[in-house]
Amino acid sequence: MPLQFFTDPTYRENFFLYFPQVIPSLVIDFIALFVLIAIFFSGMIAPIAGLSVYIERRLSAKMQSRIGCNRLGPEGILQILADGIKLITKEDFMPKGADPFLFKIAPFFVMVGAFVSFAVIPFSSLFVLADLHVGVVFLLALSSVVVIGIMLAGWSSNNKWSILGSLRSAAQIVSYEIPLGLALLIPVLITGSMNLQEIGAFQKGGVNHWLIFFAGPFTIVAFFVYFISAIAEVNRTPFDLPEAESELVSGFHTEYSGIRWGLFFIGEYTNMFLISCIAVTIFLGGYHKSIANIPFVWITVYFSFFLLLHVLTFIPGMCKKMISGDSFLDVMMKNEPKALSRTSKMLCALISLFISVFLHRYHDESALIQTLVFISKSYFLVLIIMWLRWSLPRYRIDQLMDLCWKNLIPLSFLCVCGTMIWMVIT
Amino acid sequence: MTQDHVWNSILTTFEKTTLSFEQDMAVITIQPDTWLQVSRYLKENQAYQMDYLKYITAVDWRTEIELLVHLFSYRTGYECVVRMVLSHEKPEVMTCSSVWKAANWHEREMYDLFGISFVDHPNLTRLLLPQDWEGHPLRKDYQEATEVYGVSTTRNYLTKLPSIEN
Amino acid sequence: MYFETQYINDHQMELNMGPQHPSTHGVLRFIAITDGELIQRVTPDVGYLHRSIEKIGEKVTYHGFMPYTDRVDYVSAMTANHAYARAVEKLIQLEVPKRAHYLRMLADELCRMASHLIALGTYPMDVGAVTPFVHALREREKINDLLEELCGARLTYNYMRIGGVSFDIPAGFDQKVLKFLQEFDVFLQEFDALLSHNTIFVHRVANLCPISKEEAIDFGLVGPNLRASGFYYDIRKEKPYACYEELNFNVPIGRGFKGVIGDAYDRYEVRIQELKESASMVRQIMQAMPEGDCHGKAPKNIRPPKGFVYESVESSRGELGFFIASDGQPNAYRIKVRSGSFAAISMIEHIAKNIYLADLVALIASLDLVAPEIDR
Repeated sequence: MPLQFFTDPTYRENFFLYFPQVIPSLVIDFIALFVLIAIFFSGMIAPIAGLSVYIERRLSAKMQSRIGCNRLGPEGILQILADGIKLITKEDFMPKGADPFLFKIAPFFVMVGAFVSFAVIPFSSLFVLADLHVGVVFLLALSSVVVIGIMLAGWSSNNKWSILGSLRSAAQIVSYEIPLGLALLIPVLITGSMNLQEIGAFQKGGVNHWLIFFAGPFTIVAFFVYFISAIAEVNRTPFDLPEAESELVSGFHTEYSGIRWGLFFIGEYTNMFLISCIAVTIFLGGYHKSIANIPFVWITVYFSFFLLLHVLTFIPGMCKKMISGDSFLDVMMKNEPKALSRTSKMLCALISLFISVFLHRYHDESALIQTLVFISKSYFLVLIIMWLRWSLPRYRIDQLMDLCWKNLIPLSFLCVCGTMIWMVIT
Repeated sequence: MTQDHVWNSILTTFEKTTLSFEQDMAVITIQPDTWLQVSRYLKENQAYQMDYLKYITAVDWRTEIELLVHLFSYRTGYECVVRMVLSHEKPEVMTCSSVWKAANWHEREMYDLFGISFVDHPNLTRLLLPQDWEGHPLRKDYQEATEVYGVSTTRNYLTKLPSIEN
Repeated sequence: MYFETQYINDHQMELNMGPQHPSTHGVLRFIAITDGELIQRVTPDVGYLHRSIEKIGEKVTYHGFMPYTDRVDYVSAMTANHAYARAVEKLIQLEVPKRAHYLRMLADELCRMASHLIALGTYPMDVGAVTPFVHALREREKINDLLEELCGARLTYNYMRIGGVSFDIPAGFDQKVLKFLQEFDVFLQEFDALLSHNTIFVHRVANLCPISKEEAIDFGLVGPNLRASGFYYDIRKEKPYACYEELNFNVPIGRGFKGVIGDAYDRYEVRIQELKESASMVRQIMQAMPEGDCHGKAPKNIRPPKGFVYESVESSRGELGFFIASDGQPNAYRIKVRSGSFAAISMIEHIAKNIYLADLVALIASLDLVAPEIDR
C-alpha cells in the first residue's frame, strides 16, 4: 500500500487529500522495515564483523608462531564482547581545536558506506533487502560516501598526521574506484543487467557457468583486478598507508578513541566482508548450486562443529568451577584448554563432509542452505585478505598510485575490450 | 705507527708541532691556530690521506682544555691523534667540518659538553642537551643548576614523616 | 623550531616525528619540512636518551664502570663490554688468557646475531610487514636464553671483566648452541623466502638513498652501513683482536643486489649475510674452544699510568670504541664512547633529500640506528 501511494498517478495528483489517511500504514510499514533492517544488520552482519576481529587475531597469531587471544571465554571467543564493553565505557574526549560536529559524524559515514551496501547483496533467492535495478551503481556510489567520512575524520582532528592520512586515503580510494568500476562493468556487459540478483542468476548451473570463467583469461584477470582494487578501497595492507601504524600512528583515526574508533574498526571489517560478498556474487557464482561450493561449505561446517565440540569440552570444567563457588568472571576467564584428539578431529571432518554433500543435494529448495553457501564462500575470501595483510609489506603512496593508474586501469580496459570481443566472437 | 720518519713531513711543514707516542699511537701536538691547515694537509697529502675522522674529544685538565682528534687512513693505514691545547677561559679553534663532514656533529657535541666554540661552524648549537641548558657538563668545574623549570634537582627527603592519629 | 612546530609558508609544513613514535628506533626526534609528502629537509634532534655515561665514568672505578657499558648499546651489549675491557687492558698492559678470548668472541658473535635480528625484524615492520618481526624476535629469545645460561642476564649482561670474562660455559651449553644453530638455519631460509625477493619490499627499499663510498667515509660511517656501500673494512679482519685471525669467515659487502650499490636493500642484504657468517663463526668457536682459565689476573685497584688509550671492536653497528684518559687515579679521568650510530644519524640530514615520508622511516630503519648509542 505505501509504495503504491507514492507511485500511482491517481494518488499523486491528489496527494494532500490521501496523505492523512495513509500515514498510519506508512508509519507501521516504516517501523517494520527499520526493525527488519536492524535485525538483519545486528544479527547477521555485525556478528560476522565481530567474528572477523577474533579470527584475524587468531589467524595472525598462527602465522607468527604465537597463540593469540585465548583467555576470555573458551578459546577466547568472548574477547569481542570484552573489547566492545571496553570501547563503549572509555572516556569520550575530543582533541583541543577539533571541530566537534564533524569529529562526531565522521565515523558514521564510514560505517554507513559499509553497512548500507549490504542492502543490495543477494544472500539467497528469497532474501535481498532491496532488489534494485541499479545494484552495481549503488555499490560504487556508497564507496564514495566512505571517502567523505575519511576526509572529515582527518580534517576535524586538528592533527597534521591525520590530515596526511586522510588525504592519502581519499586519493587512494578515489583512484581505485576506476579499476573497480571497470571490473564490475564486465559482468554487467555479460549479463546485460545491473541487478545483482540477475547477475547471480546468470551463473546458475555449475562451475562452468561462473562468470569468472566466462570470457577466458579476460574475466579471470578482471576478477583479480577487482579483488586488488577492492582491497585498496578498504585500506587493507598492502594498501593501508592511510592507517600505516609505523609511520602515521594510525593516520586518520589517530585522535579517535573508544567507541568512535570502534566504529571505524567495525566499518573496516564489514567493508572487507562486503567486498568479498560482491566478488562472490558477481564472479564466483553467488549462492547458486554447484559442486565447487562443497569445499567451502565443508570448511565452514567443519570449523563450526570443531568450535562447538571444543566449547563443549570446556563446559564440565566451567560447571565444576561454578559449583565450587567461583565468581562468574573466574568461571569465564580461567580455563584450561583441552586439545581435541586426532580421532575426534577426523570424525569432525568426515561428519562435516557428509553434511556438506547432503546439503548440496537440497541446495535449491532451501534459502538457508543458499545463505550458508554464500557466506562461507565470501568468508573464504575474507580469510585470504587477512592472510595478505599479515604477509606483505605496504606500498608507498606514489607506488600505490602508479599501480592504479599505470597498471590496473590499462589492464581493466584490456579486460573490458577483451570480454566484448570474446562475446562477439562466441 | 711507531716509525718516526712517517711523521717527518708534517713535523717539518708546520712549526711548533711535536710528536710523541702513547703506547704505539702517534700523538701530534699542534698549535690551535694552524688546525685548519694541518687538517687539510693530513687529508690531502699523498703520504697521509687521512680520510676517516674517528672522533673528536676533549679532556679538561683544570688549567687547560686539550682537544684530541683521532684520524685514520683507509688507504695508507696510518693512525694518529692530533692534539691541541686550548685555554680554559675561552677555548676556541677553527672548525674542520669543511675537511671532514663527520666533524660537524662531533664538534657540536664538544661545544655542548665542553663549551669549545668552533669558528665558522655551520650550525653550532647544542646536540645532546636541551637548547636552553646552561653550563657545560663535562668540565671539571661544572656546577649543576639547583632548579630546572621550577623543579629542584636535589632530593628533599622528609625528615619527619607525618604522624597518623587514629 | 625545537619546542613548537612553526608555520613556514603556504606550501610547506613542519612535521614532527616526535620522540614518541611507533617507528623511531629508540627515542629519536625528526623534524621534517615537507610539502605534504616529499621531504625537503629533515633534522634529527637527539639527546632524549642522554644519561651522561661519560660523566659517570669519571666517578666510578674502572671495574665498576663495566655495567654502564652495557647501557651504551643495550641491543648488543656484549660488544660494548668487550671494547671497554680491551681499552682498560691496553691501558694497564694486561694479558688475557686464550679461553677468555674465545669466550669473548662467542659472546660477541651471539650478540651480533641478536642485534641483527632486531634490525632485520624492525626493518620490515617499518616498511609494513609485521610477521617477520615476530619470527626474528622468536629467534632472539633463543639467543637470550643461551646468554642467560652463560651469564645470568638477558639484556644487560655485564659478562666481561677486566682481564677476561666472569663465568665459564656451563655443562650442556654446546648441545644447546648446536641445536639453536640448526633451528636458526631453518629460520633464515624462511626469512629469506618471505622477504628478500618480495616485490613490494624490493620496490619500497631498492634504490632508496644510496650512500656512495666517498660520502660514507667522509661522514665516518662504519660497520654494515659502510660495507653496504661497497667499501671493504672490518676491524675483525684488518686489525684482528681476540683471536679473530684463527676463525674462518667472509665479510659481506654490498654489490647492488637489487638496485644501486649502497642503497637500503644492500644494507638489508649485508646484515642477512652477516647473520649467516656469525652462525658459522659460532660453530667454529664452539668446536675450537681451548682449555684454560676464563679470567686473567687483574689488580683489584687499578691505577693505570698517566696517558690515554683508544680501543675499538667491530660491534653490530660498526666501530664501537672507548677512549680512556687517565691521570693515575683509580677513577678514569675521561671516558669517551665512539659509536657507529652517531655517524649514521649525522648523515640523515645530508642524504634524505626529496624522499617520501614513508621512505624516511625505511631509511632510519635501514641504517639501524639505536638511540642509546647516539646519546650515551
